[in-house]
Amino acid sequence: MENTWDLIGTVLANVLSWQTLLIIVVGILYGILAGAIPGISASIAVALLVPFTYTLDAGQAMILLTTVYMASSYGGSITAILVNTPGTPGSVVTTFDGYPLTRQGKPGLALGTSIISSTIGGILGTIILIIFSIPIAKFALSFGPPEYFALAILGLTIISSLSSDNLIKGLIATLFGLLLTTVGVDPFTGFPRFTFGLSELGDGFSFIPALIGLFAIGEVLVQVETFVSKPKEIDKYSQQFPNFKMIKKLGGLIFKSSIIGTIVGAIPGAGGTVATFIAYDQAKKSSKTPELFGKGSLEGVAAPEAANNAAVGGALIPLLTLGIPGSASTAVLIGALFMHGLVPGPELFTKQIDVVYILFAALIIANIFMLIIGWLGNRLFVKVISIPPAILLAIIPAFAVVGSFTINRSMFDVGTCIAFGIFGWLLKRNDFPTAPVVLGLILGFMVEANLRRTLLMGDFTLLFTRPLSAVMLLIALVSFVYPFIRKKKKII
Amino acid sequence: MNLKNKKSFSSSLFILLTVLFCGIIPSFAQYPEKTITIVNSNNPGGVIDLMARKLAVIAKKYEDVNIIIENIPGGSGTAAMNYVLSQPADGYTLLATLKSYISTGLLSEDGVKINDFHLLACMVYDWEAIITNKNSEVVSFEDILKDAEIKNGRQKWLGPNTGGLDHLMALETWEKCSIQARWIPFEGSSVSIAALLGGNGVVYVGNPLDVKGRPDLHIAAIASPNRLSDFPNTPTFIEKGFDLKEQMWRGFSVKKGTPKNKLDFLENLLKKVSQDTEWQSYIKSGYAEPVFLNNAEMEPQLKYEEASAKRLLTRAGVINESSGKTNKNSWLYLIAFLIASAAFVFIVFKLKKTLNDKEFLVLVFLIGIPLYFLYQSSFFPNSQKITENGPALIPRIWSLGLLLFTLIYLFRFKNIKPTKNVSEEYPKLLAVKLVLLLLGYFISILFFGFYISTFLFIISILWTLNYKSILPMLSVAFGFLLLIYLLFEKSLNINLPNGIWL
Repeated sequence: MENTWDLIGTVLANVLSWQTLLIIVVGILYGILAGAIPGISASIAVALLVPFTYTLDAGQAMILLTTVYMASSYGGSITAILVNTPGTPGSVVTTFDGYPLTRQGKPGLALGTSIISSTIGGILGTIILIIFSIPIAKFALSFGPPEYFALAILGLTIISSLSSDNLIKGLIATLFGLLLTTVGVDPFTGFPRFTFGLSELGDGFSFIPALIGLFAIGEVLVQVETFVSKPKEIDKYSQQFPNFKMIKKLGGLIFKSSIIGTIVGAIPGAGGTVATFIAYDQAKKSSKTPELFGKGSLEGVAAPEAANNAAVGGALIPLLTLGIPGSASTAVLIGALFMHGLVPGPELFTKQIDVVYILFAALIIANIFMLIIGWLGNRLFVKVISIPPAILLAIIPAFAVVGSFTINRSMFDVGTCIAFGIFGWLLKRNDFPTAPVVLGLILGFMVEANLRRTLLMGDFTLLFTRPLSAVMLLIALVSFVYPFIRKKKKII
Repeated sequence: MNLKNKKSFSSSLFILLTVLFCGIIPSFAQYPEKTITIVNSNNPGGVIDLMARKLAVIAKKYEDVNIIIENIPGGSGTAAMNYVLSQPADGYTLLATLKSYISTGLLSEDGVKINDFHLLACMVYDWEAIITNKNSEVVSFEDILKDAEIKNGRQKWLGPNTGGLDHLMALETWEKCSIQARWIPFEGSSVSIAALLGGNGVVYVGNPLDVKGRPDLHIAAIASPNRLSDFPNTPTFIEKGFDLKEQMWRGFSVKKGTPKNKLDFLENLLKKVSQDTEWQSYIKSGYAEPVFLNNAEMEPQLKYEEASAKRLLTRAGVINESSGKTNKNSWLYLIAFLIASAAFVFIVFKLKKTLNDKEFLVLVFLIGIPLYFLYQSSFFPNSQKITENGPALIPRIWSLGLLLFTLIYLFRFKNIKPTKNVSEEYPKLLAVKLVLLLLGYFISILFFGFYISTFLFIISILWTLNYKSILPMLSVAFGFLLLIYLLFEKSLNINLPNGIWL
């Protein structure tokens, strides 16, 4: 590019062309739909679309795939809120407060908060990507095994937030999730652990089918126990969407959660799902009404949704600055870009800077379109509550089965989904929270792999002698103990 | 010949000709008469996936053949391998094959082996390389040797999972160059590279493509026989005085037992593709070498590579005497531990005079499963010492923690009131019915496929929940199935299960 004005001209001409805008709209519609279908996570949504990008040029392919990544990260929240079925792993946390709001007959508030938080999170993540990508990438690289271990431990301390009513049940549920992650071939020795000789268990339990089972099928079984055949009526409460005042009140939290999402999303291997848990935990700790969390708090919807979509910008940071994908979706993206002759990494900034800026501009525009489409779509989505419960209870398990099968085309995964569903139901019947099980499933491998890597690198003292790791472990300790101190103070 | 004999001769001739005709017709049938599927273990966008897609495009130049690509990731290739083996040996399902499937077969628990396939041809050689961080103190090959000597066994090498090709390359390098080092495995090449750039190790084992677009990386030595034209300044191991040649090869296979005429057709087709200039420049753009080695040429190489992988993996302790031991009767042990924990919980409930039937089942699982895990982990390698950094370390920590907290929970609460009451009976029964329907649904899919089973499942649930208007019931079931068909099968090209009987 000869000068900045030329660059701006090229970027605007490309982004504002009708073809690009059409690609963005199609990408958003597809992404929201795919994200809302359980089993089709953001990475699968992107992967499934790769073959369809062959006919597009490199820039358009990049725009389409990142738009889908962004939109599917949001789409997962729709089914999470309406039917307690997280469409993507990143929307698990959204079920904690989104679904209770639907049960209270206020799906509009949850869906509205979700789309606004996702959009703001997505835009802030993109802005941070544009301005601070180099220092954040350097920070991300400073994460070695001890730091990843400390981050995972920090993530695990969230159980005190998720289960402060009955910590012992929360700990049991977390440990159960953690234990299940040890099933599969040990990556350090190649030794098969607890696999019963089944090659399907070589990679352990598939995470997404387990997740769909625990939430979707578990909830269906719980619902059947309190079955009411009459559907809820669409009234002024269900149609109520968040107003400006409500959003303004959530502004600070959305901003904070977006920063958490971008930074955690930029650390390769950590990702958006971990970011949502941390953002939720921080939201609860800083909230004036922490007692509402888990019962239908708007803050509990805004924080994870902002973090989840900000993590998209975050995951693009190491991809664009170092050529290293920050998430499963960006790993698919990097392959697709290679195929189109683009080499993500620092050379992209020197050799094809126009493509980079077209992507930045397209991401901002995609977020705006996502807001419009999501906002309009919400008017339709709230109608789900008027569907007779019997129909929902029949269709959700069938959807769960298709979603589980889709991931690896495996009936074993379908079995995993059903088994976890029944187990989730047993846990819920006994007031054991299922969220800590998921937390354990998400963080188990990260804890084990990085602890053992740390031990291979030296010994456990590395955890305390490397400053970043030591600081995070200290924060983890404080974070774990804090809710109890706060509770005690309140009692006193 | 009398009339009777003539008649019987004519009938025999007719039958013979009919049999011959019926037998011959299929072998003269045009192959391929339908779409060929190439199964690969990458997600779309992965190296082998892109190679298969390129092949599909170029093959069309030479034969009227329609090829589609199916991605079945998982189990270091076992999922894709098992899928191809589950299909008929009719030449319509190919496996995009990697050299790493040799070790996948050696480590696989269900016995799937690379020898179950007929390798049509190897088409790409992607040379292995040892890669360093330009910004570190250890950059050149000599630096690596010197650093290894100083660190005396503590030098850290990074790469993907243990037992994979890159790990084998590291083991071979250590053996040939007399290096003592530690292998630190990561979840994949990208995370390993991030760890290298972050200074958490000194060498990463990969391929030349890994440095593309990453100017901070440096290839210290490459395991090719000669220098690569894209990296004229990069030395080979041979130049450095070490006889080390190692490559990740990629090719295509079919299930063993595929008819010869189909094998010949496919081999011919692959040969034509391998000579195509577009194919060659595509492979070279990934810094790899386009080759064509047919089955006969690859046979001795495969045997050598399998023996070599076995030796290295055994030496590194990956294949050891514990392998396979833990699986013997493991289901029976799990059931035994669950029964024992049921008896234990029952006794505790009796002693505490508690009749909480709701919690009984959950507690049985929460005690029985960690006990089983603790028992099984005693068979793991390096599991003698409780603190040993082996595969048993973490499962033991979690199991003991889970057991401890469950026991605290079990003993802490006294006289939990029975929660059973009459009003709960009906919904509880409904939930149990639904559990049974779910299990039936799962089994039904295995036999009758997705569509029939789902139709029956939806109707059954609606009926069970007293939603008995016929027309809406049918509309819901058909509407759902139509939506799934259009969405998954038509738009996303995902074939849902057909079932054994259909």
